[in-house]
Amino acid sequence: MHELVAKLGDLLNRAPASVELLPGDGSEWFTEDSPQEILHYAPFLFVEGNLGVPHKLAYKLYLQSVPTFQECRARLRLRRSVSLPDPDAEYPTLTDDTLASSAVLLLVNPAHQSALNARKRLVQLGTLDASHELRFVSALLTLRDGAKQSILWHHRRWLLRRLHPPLPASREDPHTAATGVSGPQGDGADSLGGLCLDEGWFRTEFGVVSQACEVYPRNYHAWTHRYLCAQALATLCTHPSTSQAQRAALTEVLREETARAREWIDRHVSDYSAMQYACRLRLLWGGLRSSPDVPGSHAAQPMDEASADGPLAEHAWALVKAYPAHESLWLYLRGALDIPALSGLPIGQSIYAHAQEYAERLLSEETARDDASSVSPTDGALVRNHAVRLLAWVLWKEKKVQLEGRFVRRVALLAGTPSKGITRVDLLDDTAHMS
Amino acid sequence: MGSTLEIPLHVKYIQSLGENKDDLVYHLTAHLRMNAVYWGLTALCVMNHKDALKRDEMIDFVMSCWDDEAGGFGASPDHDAHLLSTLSAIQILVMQDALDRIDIPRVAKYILSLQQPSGVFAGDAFGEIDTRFLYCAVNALSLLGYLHELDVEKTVGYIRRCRNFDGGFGAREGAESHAAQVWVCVAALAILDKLDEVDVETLGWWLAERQLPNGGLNGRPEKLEDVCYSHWVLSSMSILKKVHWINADKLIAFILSAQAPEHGGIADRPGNQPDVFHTLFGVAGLSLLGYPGLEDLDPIYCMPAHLIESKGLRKDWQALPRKTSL
Repeated sequence: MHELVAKLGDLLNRAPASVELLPGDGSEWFTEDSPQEILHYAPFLFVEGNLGVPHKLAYKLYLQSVPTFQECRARLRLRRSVSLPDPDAEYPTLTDDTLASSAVLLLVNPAHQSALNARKRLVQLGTLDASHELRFVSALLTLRDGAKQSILWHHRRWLLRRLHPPLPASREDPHTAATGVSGPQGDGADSLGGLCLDEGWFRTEFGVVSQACEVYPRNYHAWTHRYLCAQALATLCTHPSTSQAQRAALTEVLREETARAREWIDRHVSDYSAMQYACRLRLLWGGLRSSPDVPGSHAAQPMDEASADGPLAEHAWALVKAYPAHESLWLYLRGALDIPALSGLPIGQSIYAHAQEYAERLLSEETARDDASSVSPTDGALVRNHAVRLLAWVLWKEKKVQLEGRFVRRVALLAGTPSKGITRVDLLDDTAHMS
Repeated sequence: MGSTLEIPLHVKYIQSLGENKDDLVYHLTAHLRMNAVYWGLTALCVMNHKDALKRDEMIDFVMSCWDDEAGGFGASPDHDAHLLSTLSAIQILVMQDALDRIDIPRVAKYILSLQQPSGVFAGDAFGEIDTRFLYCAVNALSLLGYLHELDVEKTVGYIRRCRNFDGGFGAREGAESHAAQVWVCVAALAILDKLDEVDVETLGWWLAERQLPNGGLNGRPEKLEDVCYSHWVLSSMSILKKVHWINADKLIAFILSAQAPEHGGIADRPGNQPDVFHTLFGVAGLSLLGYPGLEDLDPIYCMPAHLIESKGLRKDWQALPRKTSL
């Protein structure tokens, strides 16, 4: 194996705090006067646990790693299916070479499934420690390209199942009984259901996934993983084997995460992934509230944070009024109004009425005139689009209109119509505006 | 470049892929090579240039990816078996009329072994689950003639649990609605004759909202337009018989504007580098929109419609009628 592949592999396998591919070939970072701590790791940059790899060099080392990894993979597969008398004598550096070559492959190509699989085989053979591997995954997740890979999030869950003991078997999953939503059981190895996890673990995990959602906005698989964590947390809160003290601790974590989701939305008004996540969290709380095992569920002190922060529809409504050009916020509002648990009657009903008035005001002739001077044309167009679609959605919900091609096309046409007064009547009227 | 589909250029582009085996890009894409060959071949079929790639070479490549330990196909030789590459392998062999090259019962067994108690499928023995893999399994089993061995109720039950309040579907329960995941769920339901599980109006509305003012489609709210959604969204609408809810002219114009002028191929959006993935999904979208000179594409299998029909697998979907000229 090439020397630099080994060196880079070693640094990667230390599970640095962060990893980054840097532009160019890195020559500009090192001079004769560079301190020894810096030169020691050249041509890589390794400062306070943060690793920087010049991308040109990374690509070169990738190509060098391919044949090494190929050899390692073939031998690992043999070791699984044939019991050799002393496997290590045949290829004494098999583990090290696998670790180094696979790490370099994954740095440049975090979607390289076979490289990740080889590392799983090492864990199965006992030559790679699962908790250390978790830290390696965390390092890869700091890469923009890594953060969005579904295989890395699965790798995490796979490792967690090996590290944490299963919950004592219960005849019936209480979460399912309480909510009617099927629990996380039955998804085989790829779930966090049925594991005994503590509040410290959840805090760490929400931290990792939160960072990945920041590194790569709308990160689909990170948000999915985040929900799996929240779902596992909610299940643990109501599991019969969870002690009172544990329940209190776990519930506190769920409260923190719910607050954090809300703050996130305030800071990321285009992030619909966060908004639909917040809705799902609220529904998980609903499940906790109705569970007979949960202390306080029928007592004066309500378990969920709904009382503290108000229904989600209110949150969405405030944001729509502040940032009406963002489609995500209007969808957040529509979603929150659509689900009784999220709209909070009678507040929801009131918001529903006000939202329509607001949309009609946005589409009026007066607004069109005022907007001509104050709002950017792009924003104006977006706002009108969202307002038209809200009114159309209302008409459909109230069954005042049939959802068919003509209506859908009319909505699209009116939504794209520049400054002109538009009302509900126009949406219903077949002949108007069709020139 | 933008007013016509430059078929000869795109054919040359597809032929040029994989030519330089020492290229960095060639090595960086080894983990999805089987998929890439399927994308390239299907695009050629839609453009009526199937023979632009050598049949025997292609079949040899597919067979070189056979993972005898698992009983499935990997993405390249020396890559682990997976449902994604296994489906692509089967699709390629069907299109090349060479399905007899594989041990069909063995492959069917591999696929069925990946179903989980909840009804979803894992992608491989290591267990990652995703509705994409469920679709791969259903599609592959149907092409192999082994659908009768599938527990349909269990499979459909899982898809039902992935249905979100906006009518869409995600990668698993609790996951955000995403156009690609919508397509795999809707297409799987179509193969299983269970489209009644779909809230057609709500989902149709959600899909129609993917169209942006520039005519392109996105995959989720407030994301950028991308040519590949011309397939995921449009195919879904075609299966639900709602293609007329999309502004066809604007979408055609958008896809055509994403063609790469010199070397051919189609990119995710105008001005970007082309790749075979977006080339396929661009021509797939154009085919469903009735663009002249293209072959019909089955939106459920994303394979030539006549081939699917000849296997008795055609379902009741609807594309726009093919124009005879622009």
